[in-house]
Amino acid sequence: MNKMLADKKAIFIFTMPCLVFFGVIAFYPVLQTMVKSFYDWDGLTTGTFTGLDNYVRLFQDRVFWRSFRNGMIVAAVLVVLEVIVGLFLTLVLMNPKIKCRKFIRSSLFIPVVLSVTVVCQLWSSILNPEIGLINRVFEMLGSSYRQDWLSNKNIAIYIIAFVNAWQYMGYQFVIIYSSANSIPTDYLEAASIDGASRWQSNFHILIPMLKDTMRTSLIFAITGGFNIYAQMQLLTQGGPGTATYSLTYMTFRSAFKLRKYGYGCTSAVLLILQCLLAIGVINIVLGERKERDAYGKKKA
Amino acid sequence: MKKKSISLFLTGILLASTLAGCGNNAEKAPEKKAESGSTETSGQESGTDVSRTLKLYTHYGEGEKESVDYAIKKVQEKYPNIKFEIEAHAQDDGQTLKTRAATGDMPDIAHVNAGDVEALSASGSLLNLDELIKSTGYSDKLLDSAKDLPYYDDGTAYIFPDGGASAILLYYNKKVFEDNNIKIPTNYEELSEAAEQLKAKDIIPCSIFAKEGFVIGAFFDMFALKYNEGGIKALSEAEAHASDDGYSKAIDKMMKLVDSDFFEAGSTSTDYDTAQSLFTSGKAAMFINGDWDISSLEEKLGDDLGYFESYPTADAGKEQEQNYYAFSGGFTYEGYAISADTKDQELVADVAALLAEASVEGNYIYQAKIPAIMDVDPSLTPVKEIPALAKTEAEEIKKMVFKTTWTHTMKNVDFSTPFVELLQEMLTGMDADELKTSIDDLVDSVGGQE
Repeated sequence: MNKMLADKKAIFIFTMPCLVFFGVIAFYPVLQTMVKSFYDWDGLTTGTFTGLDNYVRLFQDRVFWRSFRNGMIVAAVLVVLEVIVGLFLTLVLMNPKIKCRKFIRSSLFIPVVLSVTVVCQLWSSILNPEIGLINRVFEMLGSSYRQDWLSNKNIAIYIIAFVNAWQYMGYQFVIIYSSANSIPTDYLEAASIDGASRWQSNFHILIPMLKDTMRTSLIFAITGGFNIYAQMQLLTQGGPGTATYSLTYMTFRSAFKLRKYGYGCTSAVLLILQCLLAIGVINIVLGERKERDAYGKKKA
Repeated sequence: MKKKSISLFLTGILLASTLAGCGNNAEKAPEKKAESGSTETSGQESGTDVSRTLKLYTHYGEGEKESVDYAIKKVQEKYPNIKFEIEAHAQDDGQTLKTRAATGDMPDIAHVNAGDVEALSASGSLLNLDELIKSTGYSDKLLDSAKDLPYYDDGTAYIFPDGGASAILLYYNKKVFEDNNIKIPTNYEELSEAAEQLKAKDIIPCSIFAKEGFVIGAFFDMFALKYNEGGIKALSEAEAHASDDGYSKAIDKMMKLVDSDFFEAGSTSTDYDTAQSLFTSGKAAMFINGDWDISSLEEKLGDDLGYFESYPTADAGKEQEQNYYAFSGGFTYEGYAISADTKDQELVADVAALLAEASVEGNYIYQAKIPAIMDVDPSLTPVKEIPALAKTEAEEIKKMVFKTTWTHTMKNVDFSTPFVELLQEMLTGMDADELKTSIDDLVDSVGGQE
């Protein structure tokens, strides 16, 4: 095995098909998108090279800044509702004293298996200001707090983020919970013998050991927030006005509504860069490099 | 060895019979089940010996399938050996078609609309039908009012049209007005008053699915048309400004209604089904949609369904002089186009012409769509009964004036896209002055663009 791993030719032969496949399927379209972002192109005819014009226009476009801000808002909401709440639920459900743990775990995962269309239709009905459940509940309680949940330009984006989080919270929870369950119980038992309380064990042992999983969850949540599209299309179509646009939705608008594919590619490139930057920051903050260096030194 | 020879013998017999069967199939004329009134073409006419499979990209959902199948059957009466490889039209803003054109994989015949033509004609993907529209005899079949339909804004014919005129109507529920003793409005003042009375009774004056851009564009036109028949089209072409006296008055009127809860709460996220059910259940007294919804609405409301002969948005006493018959909507540029790369273009054009003509008949028979661009055989009988109100509207539409356009077929997408977004913002808190300024900025920056 070691002999084979030391053979660079063997490594090359075995990894080449995969690399070629990935390059053609994933890398080439991304590269094309980057190239086309420098063109004035309608998607059909030959484009005209315009250099950085699209980028200059994009940074002057109020729709871009609104989309960018919305992406940040959705990402923040997803981090709170998916990752932080997912972690909290994990800590709670790891306590054997809690009853119906299996039921709660299964319940949390049910929305994940539903299609996004079904979920959005469901929430669209619940949030309907005239006949929706939420406003009806307020009405029954005698409260005047009735909202146009999806037509209020100040809150619609938070609602969309919530719907997304509601659907995928179970997915993040399962990742965190599985990871927490795979931590050997010896550590927790030793801490218990030393007199640590449950919460002390959680904060000083469990959470630090979940760092790698948290990193993955954060990447999913943040890039998922930047990338959000389906919920906007199904719940508000980006409206009212451009209030719930995300960069993905802006790309769609530029390419398919305005027939400016080059400009659409520009916002797509910005989205890619935004996601890469977020992943980089998460890796730096959660110390992947430090760990790798430490591991390397240890090996040496 | 014996077994081997027996199996070889049997295989030979099987192969021979299969080939013979194929031969018989090829010689067999296709079964013809002519609809009532259809005329069977004789095998002597050109076409019987033409054999080809054409790629047809058209709307083939549950609602359209019968019409398309009927049209294909009509084509095969003349061209029995022409087969169709049907590809269902995706609801994707023409993206599939544009992508296929970009990759040189255009279907031979495609059902297109103005948005598709705008992009596909620029790339030279569509066949110029200027001559073929005449040589196929299709232009002779069109009514005088529809003679110009095949021609796009650039003066070139790209389609064999199969659609017609559609008007955006302001429907009302007679029973709601009668039960609450409210006068059906005929002008803006009466409309405002009716809206107040309806709200006092806890009834939504009007339901709208403003999630869709064309509906809200039509709502704007309902007011603007009273001052300028060009409506939003004039704005998109920079021939008018929102700050012009007429438009300014129209926006003020419109905003006054919007600010006084004329529509249901959450109208910008309301979809068609919800808005329609608010109306048909009596929770809303009025409803905005195209005339294609008459059948569905009449099914639910029966004789209680009505629509305004003229939008009740004119000033009191000036109903007749303020463009009484100006309506939002009009003829839509849609029909069958042909790929510029298709072989034997004259043959394909003849097939497309037959398809378009038979589609008009099919839409009449199976979808109760009254033909607006050509006369159909009077002996044809619709499967569904055409609602009385639809018949009335089919007569009324001849008087209607369509000088504006739909937001979704507007050529100037740089104008239409942000314009619809502005109108949505108008429904969610933008004030009249801000709206006028924003529209003027839009007109000055992108109005009149090709």
